[in-house]
Amino acid sequence: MIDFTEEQLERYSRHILLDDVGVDGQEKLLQAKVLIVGAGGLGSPAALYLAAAGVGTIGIIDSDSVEISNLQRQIAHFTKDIGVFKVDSAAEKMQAINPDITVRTYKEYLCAANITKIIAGYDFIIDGTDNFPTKFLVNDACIFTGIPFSHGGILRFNGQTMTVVPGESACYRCSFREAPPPDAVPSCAQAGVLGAIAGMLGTIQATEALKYITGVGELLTNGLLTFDARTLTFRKINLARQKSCPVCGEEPSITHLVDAEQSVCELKSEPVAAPC
Amino acid sequence: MQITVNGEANELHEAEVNLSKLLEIRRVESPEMVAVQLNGEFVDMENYPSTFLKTGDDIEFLYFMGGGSR
Amino acid sequence: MLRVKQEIIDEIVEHGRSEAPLEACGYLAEKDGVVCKCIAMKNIDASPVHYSMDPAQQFGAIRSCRAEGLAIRAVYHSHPETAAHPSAEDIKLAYDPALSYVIVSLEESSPTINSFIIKNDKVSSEQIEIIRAEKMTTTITADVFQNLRGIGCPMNLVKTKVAFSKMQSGQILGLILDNGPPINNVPRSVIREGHEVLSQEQLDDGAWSLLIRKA
Repeated sequence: MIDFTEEQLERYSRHILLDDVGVDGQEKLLQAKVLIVGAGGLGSPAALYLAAAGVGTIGIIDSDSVEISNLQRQIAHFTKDIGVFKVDSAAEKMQAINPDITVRTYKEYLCAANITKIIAGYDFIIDGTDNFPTKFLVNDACIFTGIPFSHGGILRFNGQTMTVVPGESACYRCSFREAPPPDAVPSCAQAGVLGAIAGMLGTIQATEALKYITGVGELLTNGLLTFDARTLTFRKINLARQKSCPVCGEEPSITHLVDAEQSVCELKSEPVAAPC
Repeated sequence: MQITVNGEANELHEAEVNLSKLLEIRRVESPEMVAVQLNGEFVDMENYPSTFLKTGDDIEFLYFMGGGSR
Repeated sequence: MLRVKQEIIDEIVEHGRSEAPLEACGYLAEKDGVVCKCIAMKNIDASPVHYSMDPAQQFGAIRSCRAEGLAIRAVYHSHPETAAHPSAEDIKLAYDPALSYVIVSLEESSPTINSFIIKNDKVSSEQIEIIRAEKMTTTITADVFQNLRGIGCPMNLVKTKVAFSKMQSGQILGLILDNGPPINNVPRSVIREGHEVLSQEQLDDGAWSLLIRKA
């Protein structure tokens, strides 16, 4: 049982007041460890909200530095941060919001060789990556290690998210199987994205992390939430675990982690397939 | 034939429609960026031509969407 | 000073009303300085403007009081149509200066009760102190006590919840809450969460003292 300081009681009062969160829930948050993959459009709002919520340890991984074109939607980064590593920029804002928490930064590109070691010990992972090979890598590594995660994606005016609890609910591969061919993926320069929808989606992902840690409500499992900001319509598409899934199905063909052909590990920080 | 696409009722006038044809009818520009679910089951892209629709089918197009880092 | 239990006042009024429009009369008996018994007597005059007790009944009443360890303290009677003041005849017939004379007036819808000491035809008012029934609550002591004086909403509720989180189910939390929003909000919230408010009373400074059983 944590003895909350007067300052913590005030800081987290709006959580403690919630019947379903309360003192116990806040204690769970302070003891939780969440890893955010990507300090970009989705990772930024998720990082800020999880820091504000008092998630005790937050890891954030990204090998990129802040560019001026990021600032339209990656709200953890300010104009003064151009050229700074995104994880350093994000960590600074997170600590400024809440000095109570520990932020671990990883200036690495997540790949088959390092992912298992990096995600070990985290309770929940937020996928805010910009490319499909890494999304599938996160999915597979989470299935193998049993760590639940939130998938998120945005494009133009649309967003999608689902929560995966390995062994219990449909995984990303159940529905999407494998990364689309790189030449089919629209790049950010071509497609564009409405900045604020990164916030809409990243905050949903942060909410799922908070729900998982505190045990409140029902997670967005076995369902893909999609929205179109132009009409502001939300849809939840029911998904089910697929026996034919190559990673969590009955006869999995993927039994160990491998980097996709276009893995950015080899390409350093210049991935070919980079949607937004 | 009455089918449901992305949660909305659709009337198809063609007698025989496979999934490849449906993607055409729905003007899906890059089929590589869509995963198809038929009545809750994933359908492999190579099976689109041989998968013919029947009345009452429920089809979801699941679009690949990336993150927001770059 | 005439000290009378609340329920005796109620009995006097009730007796007066039951006899109206005739005057009702009776004795008040005390123990340990507090009137705790009302002995209704028959008004043998059966009159709306004066009363007389039946001597045989009087002696019987005095005897039974002694047997119960009680002492006759006062004579009461009702004025169905007039004020709660002794009439000329009341003064003349007040033969016992050791007793108080209690008059209940029923002329208004809410009754008035006054007490008088009448000596040598001189009337002086006597103060009546009404003793309210003591609460039949057993004393409950709090297992944990939180003084939340000066702590506003919602931090008072936050601190209450923190206190509960360290307690076992069934234990009692004692709280002091400020008047106003705190007393209006905190009990409602703890009840909503399933806890039981056992008591709630206002203190002299306006703050409230509560006992709450943890769910």
